[in-house]
Amino acid sequence: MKFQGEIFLSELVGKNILAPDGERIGKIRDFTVVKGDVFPLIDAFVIQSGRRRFTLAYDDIELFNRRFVLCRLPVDQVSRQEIKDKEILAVKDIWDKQIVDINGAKIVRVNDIKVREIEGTLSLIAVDVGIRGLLRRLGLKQNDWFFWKKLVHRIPYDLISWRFIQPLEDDITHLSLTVSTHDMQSLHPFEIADILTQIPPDNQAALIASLGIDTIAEAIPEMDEKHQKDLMERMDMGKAADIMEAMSPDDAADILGDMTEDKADAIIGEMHGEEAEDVKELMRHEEDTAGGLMTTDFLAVHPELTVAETLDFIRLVSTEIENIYVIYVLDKQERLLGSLPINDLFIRPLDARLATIMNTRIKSIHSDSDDMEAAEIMAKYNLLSLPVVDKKNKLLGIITVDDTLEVLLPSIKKRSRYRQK
Amino acid sequence: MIPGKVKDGLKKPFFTNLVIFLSILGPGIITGSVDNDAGGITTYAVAGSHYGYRLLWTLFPAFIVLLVVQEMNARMGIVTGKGLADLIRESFGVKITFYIFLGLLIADIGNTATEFAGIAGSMQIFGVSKYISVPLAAAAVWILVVKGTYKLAERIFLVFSVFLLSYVVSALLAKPHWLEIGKAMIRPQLQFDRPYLGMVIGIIGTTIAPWMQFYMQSAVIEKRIKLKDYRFALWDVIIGCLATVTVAFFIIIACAATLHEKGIEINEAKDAALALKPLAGVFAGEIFAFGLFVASIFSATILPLATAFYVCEAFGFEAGIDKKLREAPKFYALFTAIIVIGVVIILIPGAPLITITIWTQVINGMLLPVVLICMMIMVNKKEIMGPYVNNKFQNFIGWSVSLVLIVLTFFLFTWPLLARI
Repeated sequence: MKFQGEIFLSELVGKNILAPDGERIGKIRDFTVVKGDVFPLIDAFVIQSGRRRFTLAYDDIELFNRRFVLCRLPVDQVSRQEIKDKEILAVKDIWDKQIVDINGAKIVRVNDIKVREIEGTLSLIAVDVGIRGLLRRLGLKQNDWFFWKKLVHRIPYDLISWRFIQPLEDDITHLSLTVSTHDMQSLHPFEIADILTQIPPDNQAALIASLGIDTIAEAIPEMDEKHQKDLMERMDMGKAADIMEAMSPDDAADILGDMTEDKADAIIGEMHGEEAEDVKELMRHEEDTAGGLMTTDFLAVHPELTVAETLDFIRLVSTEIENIYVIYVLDKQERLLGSLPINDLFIRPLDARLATIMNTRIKSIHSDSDDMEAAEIMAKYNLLSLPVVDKKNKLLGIITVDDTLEVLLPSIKKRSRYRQK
Repeated sequence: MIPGKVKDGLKKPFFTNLVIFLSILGPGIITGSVDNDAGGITTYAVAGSHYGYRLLWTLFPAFIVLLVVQEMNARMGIVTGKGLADLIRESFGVKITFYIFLGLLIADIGNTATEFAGIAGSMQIFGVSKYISVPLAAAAVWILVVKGTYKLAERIFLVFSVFLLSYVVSALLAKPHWLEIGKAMIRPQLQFDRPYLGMVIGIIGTTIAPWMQFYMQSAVIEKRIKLKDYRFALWDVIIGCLATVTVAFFIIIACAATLHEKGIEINEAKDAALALKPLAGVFAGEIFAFGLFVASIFSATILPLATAFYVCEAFGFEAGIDKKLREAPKFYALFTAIIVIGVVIILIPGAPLITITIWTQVINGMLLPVVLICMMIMVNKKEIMGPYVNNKFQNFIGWSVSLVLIVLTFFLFTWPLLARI
């Protein structure tokens, strides 16, 4: 491996390239790009020495990073290839070009290109279209001016994965997106899952690197078990733990449950305390029991709260908790006292206490019960969610109606996901 | 100016041609009219009052310069479908682009302030305080652009262009000596002192401000003019340039026939309107002030708009008058900021207006050669223009114009230094 992690091309342009003995071969000016399986690849560096420009094959690079670039050959053995006419150059042909969306509307510009080494090849994984990229190109990003660092720090990253960019043509006037900008932002997790499943394993890492953790955390549960397991086991522990934390706990527990114990433990070990506890709790349950099906992502409150306070609370936590449609009322020992559908909050007086308005005759299921039984109860009583309790009636989690679909239609995950379109 | 390329359009009946022409009409005429903004009117009025008819000959070279440059802009816009800012960014990279646009932005803020000064001055003639006229005008401009559509704006602009003919009335009321005018134009008396040369450069410089090239090219693209309709676009440019010099011609005449003959020298356009009242009647003065008002408000709309537009174009932000506020936040933020800063500069009591005007001209003067050279390089690139690159004649004129402007600008700025040696 010549390079680990990710780097922007602007961080390499202008760097000296050195021979093993420290002698200077020239300055990096550009990169030749060839088509790859998933992402375009950099196949050589364009070096300038004096007035002459030549290419140096990527294979001849020993290693490089943000500080220096080292060639594996001494100066006199470097094969200096001429730049061919038709060759695509990253700096000359791709930088600064417009990216147009599917409808031909111009949107953004390529400010920089992010690359990453995958299996010994250097892949173009994303384009930087944001202000950060601009500042980096202008050489203004690293300044130590007063307040500047803080200001720059607050500028959001604005990257477009190369996955969404159409294959490069010979004569580049602009880059085109394969999806409309709107679709790209709202690309459904199952579509990303589908893409992840289709591309060769070696390229998955690059795609994952180019997407946000949250996006990946939503996409992975949509993959089938085998691919899930392969993907997670190949990933490095820290990254895997980050993704698991962002995932809903029941999905994380499912995936970890499928992995070998060593791997799963290692990943849990890297996770933060609270999230790790949730996942461990869920993993204790057998897969085909109510406990194995449930999620710990639910909304629980004390009976003394008023309606107004409850609404405030929901507003506060609704970004973290997905299932807010039924509110569970617990006592101090976390035992289930009652429940309340969220719509009730809107029709009750704001000062009413939950203890007086909650529904105390509620259906619940023991965590060791069969998951089919849970599905049957929910179907029979038309429930959106079903609380799962232990022997002491302590609330452990809930089963949501979408989870039961997987029990009732086990083949659904294996079917073509695109049928839903 | 592209011989033999548009033959297919020649056989169409007159009426069809007229309709096509009217639909294409706009970019050239609007650009030509915006050209006679507050700064332009001031320059012409001052020239007329100081030198009488003696500087009328400068309108010939000004016309040629304007025509050559704008024809190139129209051609580049039609052939590439890209704005000048786009092309500069793609051909010269982010650094040059950044510094050009930083300069343009500063110069245009200064220019906008001058336009608001024009509004303030002209309304003072009608007894309206600048603290009322300027904020109202700014609000009207803002609403037209943010809430309106490009079509509506363009129509209003075209009507504005017609209003500028009010200067013809002003001039006729001043009863000029046509014989002297004829003589001055055919046999110009040249002088070689600094104020005279400064005035010559001023007249040519004010007709060809750097930002206009960007506006012209973007307006052509916004119209989606096709290559086969090039000759109509050319006529639009020619009429626009003619309109520019015609209006300039009558302003100079109006001031020469009255102020110069009575030995009154002025430094501001407002003074011309004031001075015209006793000499050519109240009506002539008011017409002059009205023309100044229309020209100023016209340019106060187009200038911030054009600036916001090409800055966004160069750096890949969403832009366009037909976009909603939410769709193009950076574009509208920039537009609003330029107007607000312009207004604030005018409304601060005792703001150094003259200094601002001079520095604006200095920056414009430095940018003009840079932009022109960029244009000349690009319009000769086969990769950009295909078969529509400049022919030898166009190159000769283009380079001579650039060279003359550079030399003139150089002399204007270095004269004080040279004089000291």
